Parts: sequence; C-alpha cells; structure tokens
Amino acid sequence: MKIREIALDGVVRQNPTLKLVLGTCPTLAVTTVAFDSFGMGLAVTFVLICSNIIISLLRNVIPDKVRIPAFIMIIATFVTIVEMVIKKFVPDLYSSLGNFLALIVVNCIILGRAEGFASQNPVGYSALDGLFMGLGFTLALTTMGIFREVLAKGSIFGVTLWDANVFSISFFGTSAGAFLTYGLFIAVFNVAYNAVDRKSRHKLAARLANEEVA
Amino acid sequence: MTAKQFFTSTSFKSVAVLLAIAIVCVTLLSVLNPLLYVEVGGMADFDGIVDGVSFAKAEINAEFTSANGTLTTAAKSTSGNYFGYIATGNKFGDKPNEYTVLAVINGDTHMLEGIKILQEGATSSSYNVTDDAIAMYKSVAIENPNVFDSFAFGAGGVMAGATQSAITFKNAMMVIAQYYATYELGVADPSVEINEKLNALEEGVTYTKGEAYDYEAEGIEVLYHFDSNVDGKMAYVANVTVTETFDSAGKAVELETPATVMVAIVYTEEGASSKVANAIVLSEYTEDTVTVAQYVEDRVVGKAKTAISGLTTKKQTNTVEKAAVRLLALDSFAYSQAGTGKYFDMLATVSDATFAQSDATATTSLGTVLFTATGTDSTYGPVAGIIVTANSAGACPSVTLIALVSTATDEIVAFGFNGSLTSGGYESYAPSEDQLKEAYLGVNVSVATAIDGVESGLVVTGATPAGTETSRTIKNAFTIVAQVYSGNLETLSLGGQDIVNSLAEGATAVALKETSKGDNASVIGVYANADTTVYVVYSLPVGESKDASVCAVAVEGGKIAAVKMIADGSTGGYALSQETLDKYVGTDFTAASLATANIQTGTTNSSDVLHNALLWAATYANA
Amino acid sequence: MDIIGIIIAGLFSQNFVLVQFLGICPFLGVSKKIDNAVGMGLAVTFVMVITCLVTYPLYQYVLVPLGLDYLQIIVFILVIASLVQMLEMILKKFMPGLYSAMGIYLPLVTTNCAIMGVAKIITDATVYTNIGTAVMYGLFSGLGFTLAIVLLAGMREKLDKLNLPKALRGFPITLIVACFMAMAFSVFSLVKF
Repeated sequence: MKIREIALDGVVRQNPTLKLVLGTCPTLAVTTVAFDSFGMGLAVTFVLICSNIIISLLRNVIPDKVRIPAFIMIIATFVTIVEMVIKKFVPDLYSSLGNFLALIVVNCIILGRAEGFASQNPVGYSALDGLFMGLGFTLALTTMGIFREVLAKGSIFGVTLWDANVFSISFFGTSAGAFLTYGLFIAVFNVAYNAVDRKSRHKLAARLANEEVA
Repeated sequence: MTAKQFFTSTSFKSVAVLLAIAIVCVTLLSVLNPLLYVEVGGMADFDGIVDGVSFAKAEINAEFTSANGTLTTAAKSTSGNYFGYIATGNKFGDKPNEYTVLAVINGDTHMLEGIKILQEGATSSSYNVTDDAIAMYKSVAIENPNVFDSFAFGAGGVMAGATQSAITFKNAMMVIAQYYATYELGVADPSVEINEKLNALEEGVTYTKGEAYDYEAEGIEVLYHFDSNVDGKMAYVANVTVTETFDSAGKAVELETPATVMVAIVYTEEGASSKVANAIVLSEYTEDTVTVAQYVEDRVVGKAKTAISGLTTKKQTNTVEKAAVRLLALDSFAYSQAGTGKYFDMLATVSDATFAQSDATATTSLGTVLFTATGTDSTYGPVAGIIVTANSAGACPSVTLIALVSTATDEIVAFGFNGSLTSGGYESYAPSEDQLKEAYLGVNVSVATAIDGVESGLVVTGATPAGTETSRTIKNAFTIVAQVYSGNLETLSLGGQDIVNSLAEGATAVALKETSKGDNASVIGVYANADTTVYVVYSLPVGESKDASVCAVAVEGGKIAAVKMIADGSTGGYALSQETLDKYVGTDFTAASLATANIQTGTTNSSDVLHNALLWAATYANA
Repeated sequence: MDIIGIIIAGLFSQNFVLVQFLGICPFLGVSKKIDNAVGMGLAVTFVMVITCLVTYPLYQYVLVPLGLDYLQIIVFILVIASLVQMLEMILKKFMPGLYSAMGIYLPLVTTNCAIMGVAKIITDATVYTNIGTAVMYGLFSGLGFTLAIVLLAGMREKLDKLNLPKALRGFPITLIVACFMAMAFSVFSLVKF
C-alpha cells in the first residue's frame, strides 16, 4: 500500500504548492495562462523524477558531508537539459517561462525531495515520489492557470471561450492578481482538506469502534 | 596518515565523488549541447509570427550583403504566400550591437505582417525601437528595394531621441526590403544597375553606394552617391531636367516636354588639384529615344574635352550633353565634395604657416579660385594663401598656381605651381623659375589690375605662339590672384577692359543683377555709356571645344552693334573669325530673334559657345 | 541603462518580489517580524551584490568566450552555494556582530531564487554593458527586496492581532496583503525615465 501513500502525499497531503507552500516563485510567475502553468509543471516533474532516481541510486555512494553540493549538481544538470529541450522544441513556452525555467534549480521542492525522500528510499519509490510530487505541483499550477486565464482573458489553454472585451477581469492577469489567486487557492484548499480530513478521521474512528464491537 | 588511510578517508572520498559527479554532469551536458543547440535566428523563431503559418527554410540567393547589412536567413511559408527573413543591420554610431530583426512579409499585399527583434541594438532599453516605429514599417508595401530609404528619424521623426538605434534598426529593415524586392518581386534596385555600370568603367575600380546625398535644385536632383575603392574617386548620379536643346544648325530648340536624363558623374582627383569628371548617361531621355548612349566628358577643371559615342544625331548629342554640362557646371557642388585637405597640403609647399580657410571659391572669366586661406609665416609674417586654376590661354594645359601674398605689404612673396607646367608637348615653352620670380615676386596686388603691366610675352623661347600661351596662362593665374586679393574678382584684365572701351568709350560698370548666371553662360560684366551698353559674357565649352570663351557684345538701340571675343576657348583652328562674329551685327538683341539667327562657320561647337553667350546675354538684358 | 533607471527599477518598478516574483519563499517565510525581515533583507542584498561581482565576469569573460554558456546554471548554483558557505564562515570569524544579525539567514539564501535570478538576469550583456551596471542592479534589487519584505513584516505584525477566519490564517492572508502591495507597486511601472 506504500504506492497509495506516496501518491496521496504527493498530490494531496503534502501538495508542494498548496500545503507545503514551496516553489512559490514559479507558481506566482507563470500561472498567468494555463499552458505555461502546465508546461512549468511538466518541466518540474521531469526534473523531480530524474533527480530522485539518480540521487536514490547514489544514496550509498555520496558521503553525507558533501551531499548538498552533489544534489545541486545533479539537479542543475537536469534543469539545463530541460531548458535545452524546451528551447529547442517548444520555443514559445521557452520565451514565456523565461528565467523561471533556469530557476527550477533553486526550487525548494526538488532539493527538499532529494534530501527528504530520495536519499533514504529505494529507486522505485523515489521515482514514484518524484512523479506524484510533480503531478501535485502540476495540478495546482494548472488549476490556478486555468482560473486566472479564464477570468483575465476569457480563454482556456489559448482557446477563446468568450470575447474578452465583453467580460474579463484583467486584474487576475497582473502580479497583484497572482498573489490574490494563490492566497485564495491555499485558503480554499485548506478548508476542503480539513473537511475531508475530519470526515476520514470520523470514518476511521467509527471503523475502529466497529472492530472493537466485533 | 598513511597513503591507505588517506585514500580511504571520508575527505578524499567526498572530493572524489564530487569530482566524479561534476565530470559526468559536464560531459553529459557537453554531449547534449550541440544536439539541442538553438541558433539565434533559427527556424523556430518564425513560428507564431503570423497565426497558423509555419515556415520552411529557403535558399538565400547568393550571399546577400548590402551597404546596410546582411540577410542571414530566408524562409518561405509552408502554406499561404508568406516570406520570412532574418537580417542584421549595420551598427550606427556607438551602439554596442547590430540589430537582428525577423520579418514576415505577406507575398500578396507586400506588407510586413510581423516584426520580431531577435537582438536589440540599443545601449539601453529606453532607446529600444518603439511600437510606433514598427507600426510605421508595417504601414508600407514593399514594392521596391528603396521603400524604407526615405524614412525620417530624429526630432519629429519615427523615433525621436533614439536616432542611432533607429538607424541601426532601419538598416536591418532596408536589407529585408532590398532582398524581398530584388528576388521575390524582381524589382531591382536601380542603384544596383548603375553600380555595375560604374564598376565597368575602369578596371580595378569598384563603387559602393554611400549615404544618400540630398541635393535638389535647379532641375538637378542628386539620386545616389557612390564611393570607390580608389582615394579621391567618387560618383554622383542625378536626374537632370533640360528644357531646351539645339538643332544641327546650333539653334536653340525648346523641347515640347522637358527631358529628364539620368547622368552619373565620376569625379577623380588627378594629382592634387585637377578633377576629371566623366559623365555617363544612364537613362533614356524623351523626345528621341536613345537607348543608353554613353557620353563621356573628360573635364579637367577649367578645361574640357568631350568624346561622344553612340548618339546618332546632333540634336540627341546636344540634349544629353546639355544635361551633363549642367551637372558639371555645378562646380561649387563638385568642389564641396572634394574636401579641402589637399589645398592645405598645397599651401604647405610654399609656406610654413598654419592656415585657416578664409573664403569661398568662385569662378571668374579667367579661371577658378580654388581656395583662399590666411596664416602667419615664419619668414613673411601674416600672409594670405591663394590657390587658383587659370584656364588655358590657348592650347597649353591649364595652370594651378599657389600664391602667397603678405598681408602687411600686399606683395606676392612666394608662389609655386601644382603639377607640371610643361606637360602635353609644351616642355620647351615653359618659362624658367628665375624668369617667373623676376616677373612676379614683389608685385603689389592691392589692385585687381596689378598684373596687367607684366609683360605677357615673358618667355620667348623660339618666339612661338605656344610659348606665349603658356606664359599667358600663368599670367592669367596671377591675375586671378590679384583680382581675388584685391576683392575685385570680375574686373576684366588682359586687355578685356580695352575691348570694352573700344566698343563704348568711357563706359562705366553697371551693377549685375542676381540673375546673371545661366545654365551654360554667365554675364560677368555690364558697362554702359550714354548710348551703348556692353555685355561681357562667359560661356561654357560645348562638345569638343577646349575651353570656356569670353566675349563682349555691344548693344545700341536694341540691336547688336558689335561682337568681339575676349578669350576664345575653341580647339585650335576653329576659332571664330571676326567676319563670322560680325554676322550678328544688326540683329535684334532679344532671345527670340537670336534663337533664329543663323551663323554658319563650319565649327559647330565654337559657334554654339558664342550662340549660348549671346542668347543668355539677351535673356539677361531683357529679364 | 543609466543609474537612475537602475535605482527606480530595482526598488520599485521592477521590484524583485512584487513585480518579478523572485525570492518569494523568504518573502513569505521570514516576514513574521520586522527584525527577521531586516536581517533577511540585508543578507539577500549582501549576497546579491557579491554574486553579481563574481558571476558577471565569470560569465562574460570566461563562459561566453569559451562557448560554455550552456553550463551557466550548474556553474552559477555552485558559485552561489560556495559563496554563501564562505561568507558564513568569514562573518562568523571576523564580524560576529553582523553574523548574529544576518548569519542565520545565509543558508536559506542559497536556494533563494532571487540570487540565482539576479545572476541570470545580468547575463544579458545588451542591458548590463559592464560590471558596474550589473553590480548596481544587484544592489538595488536587493534593497528592493529588503523594502518589500520589511513592509510586509510590518503589516504582518499588525495582522497577528486580528481575529481572522481559520482558513485565512498564515499564508493566505499574507498573500492577500502581498496582493495589495503589488497593486501599490504596479503604479511605479508608470514612471518613465
């Protein structure tokens, strides 16, 4: 059942964007439109999976003293590869993500997972952790991107829903709008999470009570 | 610590592991980099410029580099009729970078549909090319290669306050327009053809189109300016509009429609002072169609010779010639392009002073004042340096004299000649240095007629006319010096005054009207007594005549009373006889009647020169 | 870019935090108290200036001429990490006063994208034509960061006294406050120089 735990942790319980509030810079910067958010999410997911795998493989080789510089080098290499690939094959995304692509290297999520998970777990689990953490990040960013794009531009993934001249709240396209959106998303996520959490705890308690009865 | 302990210590292991990771990482990236490398200006840049249009790389026709920059990439849309280009415009001023610009042109409308700046050339973002400027480029259909040439910049222009960036950017846009118009529309830049013609003139001389020269006046519109790979050689191309021509009898004929002839003039500085101008006719002109004739005029300043080929009728020749001569007649224009450095060099041959240019140049009946300057010489004190070119007084070469006049004593204190006095078969007729010094040094030139008293037949080697001509030419040169120094350029000397006096006794000078300068003749003096008015006219050479001529025409009661030549510029043997000149006597002094006056001399060029002189004098007098 | 332009851009119109979204983690994480915010701001400014001083010549005169600019991310992050490490040691030993004021924030600075961001931004040689402009940019961007984080901390100290809905406590309300700050700062983008 460990896979289920990893998946739940990554996407919900330890959602890096909404629960841990890590990797905030790209979250605010690229969520103006859904496509950029999705692209950034995938780029981070790729780096997470790759760095988690390599670091997990090398976890017994790298001396504890120098683990941070070693992790940083490995992460930086994958970030460079992602940057090169996107620049070559998706130049539009490259120009709209700009410097934030290179800044994945200092995204706390990646170093955090390397330090907190990959360096202590076997390769398979580490890869899954990278995948689900990345998915959690991608999901959060893309939802925010959709929210902001729809409100500010009347479109979704670049597909026009309605004429933006008729209805749009361009505020959500600005930097202030980014802060507000992020704040609201965390608040809503917390409310929902707490509600679900309480329910599941009740369920658990009820089940335990039933078992006791049985 | 033993070696074994060292190699198994955690410190060593740490460093070794870090190094290993670093090496692997760098190697991996180094392998991937060339595979994933994206060149600036790659095809990917074209995507998304125009919605839904993607591009494929196209061959660039030859290496396309113009005076404005280089075209680096050409592309053609895979659907629809679009052309994409990337060009780098030359730097202008102290901009750190060239502008690299990507542009997409709609092949149906020839309009720019997208412009993307791949590399900014501005020193700071506040000088970046503005949206307004880009909109202006997008507003023009690219139907010829020069469409952007006329875009204005600076205050009130496209990009006020950002002139250098603006020009750097414009260069890139011009390259794109040049390439598109030339290769996609087949509209060649007319200057390219002209450039080729100029290059074909002389072996080893190639021309490059330079900054446009803005000159438009008196029916002459300068179109292009070309620099060459030879120092002192340059070309101007102009449209010259002429309104009249001559028929075979030398009569002026008004053209029904003014003819515009494109003429290129190549200026070559020969030696230090003289310029040779070749005029080449580059276009057809209306009236009669002459498909490019080549008309070449070799014109050493103050001395002219023409050789015309390819023109079939005299009328054609004259029309072309007139256009070319008009352009050549813009002496001040030509001189202003030549630079003054060489004149300072010439002055340095006679004086150690540091000179400052003092006066504008002028043309007199005897020749041309090239340059005047003042300075302080270590030997002579304050001096004026005067450089003049005297027209040949016969068949000998013209003479360029550099004279140094002391401003304290008004005396000629030193002089020299630029170029040889003895070229062209006149070696034995040149005066010796001693003879010249004896004659001219110490002459006080405070009056314009100061030189008149010098014996002109000063060199009499063999007593031939040619010898006399050389010394007369030299005397002319000194006379111009006296005229310019005394501030009285147009006072006639060398017997000119005597001729005027013989035509109208006791005549006094009349102030000239502003309109004294015509297309090919100028009234340079008017003298009048109670009943006779004498016009002294300077007339430019025509055809093969060697030189400009100066004549005097006396008018009494509205009719020509007498015509006399003061200086005849005709080629040896074709001088107009007094008998011929007398044929004009009795003719009404009006342009209309002179235009039909018919003199047959057998030497059309000479008679044309006189005809021009009289016609202009009448026009001037009745204006 | 002239010096006035750099000052206005760094402090206001291109504010690292509120306009460019760089250095958000410490902006949200270390802004509970003004004292902490000042320490963090100074540490970031200090490291930013030194980063510019080191990475600008390293990039323009070593990596670019050698054609190794594709190694910039790995080189920059290692340089920044080592710089921070060295700074920490030097401050601890020679300037204990300064160390106690901002030293504890230094390790956090390594993974602060403001530092990496400034190193990346100044690689654009068409705008930052010499090391002087690059370092000035680093300095004023750092001061802009300090300004933003200290202002936020001032407001958060007041927020603590409010009885907020549970869901808004912590990050949400901080982000909403930052939203108003960003609105205020967006006015500076109208300043033309």
